[in-house]
Amino acid sequence: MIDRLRSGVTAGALVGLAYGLFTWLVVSPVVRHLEHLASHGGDHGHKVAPAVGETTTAVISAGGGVLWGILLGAAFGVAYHLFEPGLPGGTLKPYVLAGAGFLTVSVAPWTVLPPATPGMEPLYGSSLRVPLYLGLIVVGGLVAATSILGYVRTARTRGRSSGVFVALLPLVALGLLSVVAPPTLTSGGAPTGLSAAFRWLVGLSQAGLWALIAVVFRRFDRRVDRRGTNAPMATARGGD
Amino acid sequence: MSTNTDTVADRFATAGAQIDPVTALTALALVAALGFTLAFLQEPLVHEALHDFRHGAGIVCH
Repeated sequence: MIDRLRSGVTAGALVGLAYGLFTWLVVSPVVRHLEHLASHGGDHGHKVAPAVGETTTAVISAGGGVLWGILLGAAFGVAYHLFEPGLPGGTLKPYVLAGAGFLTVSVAPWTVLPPATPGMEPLYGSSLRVPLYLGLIVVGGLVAATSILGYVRTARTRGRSSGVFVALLPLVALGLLSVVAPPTLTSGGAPTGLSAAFRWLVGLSQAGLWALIAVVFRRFDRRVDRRGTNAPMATARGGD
Repeated sequence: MSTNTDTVADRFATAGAQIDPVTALTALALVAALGFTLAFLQEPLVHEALHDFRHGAGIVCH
């Protein structure tokens, strides 16, 4: 458990550093630019009087990216240790869990509350959005769990392809939710093409974050595994 | 890692036996605090400073 947590945190920190750099070099300038575009489109009140300078925002946001990686990595490590026996996929288990994590933390909330392009304004206050967001994370977790359980159960008795079919059902249901859900954002001042591109940027960067966590975690976990089989008594459990 | 016959329930049971509740709660509280600060804290200074990150990660309270 502690070994897995450590692998997870290390993987998260490494990936988080990359992601923080990405936030700094790509996301911040893009957000600046889009906000600039949006503010010329009319009465845009998102940044009435910036309380913090742009440099501070860029630096803190980059730091936030690093911490985000660590947070996800830690959760990944613990979840991997606890749920590993139930995951399908053999050596690809970390990727299955990363997919489940991405679905839970990002995709499920986005079905109702899509990522806001700079310039877009939320239609509802944060007192409604935060509980909704947390609720959707729970929904996402349930969808991921049903999908994986459905696959495991069905694949065991009826073969792999029907397993995949059963696993897709909860995902389709989640997709339908995004169609049914009412809009939660105003269209904003940014051009449609740009805001679509921004959403892709957000979606792909989060997917990439999870995928990289899985890659690095898998590498560390294997190393721990090897060390564990060579010297089973040397359980390094320091640190706390 | 340890055995291949483990089940998820076994893993939970071992974790429950190895880690005392206070440690687990502390860890959970720290994680919750970090998550809350990154994703939901509305305090203007924090909100402004994390603005780009929240946009980039697609978090709702940008």
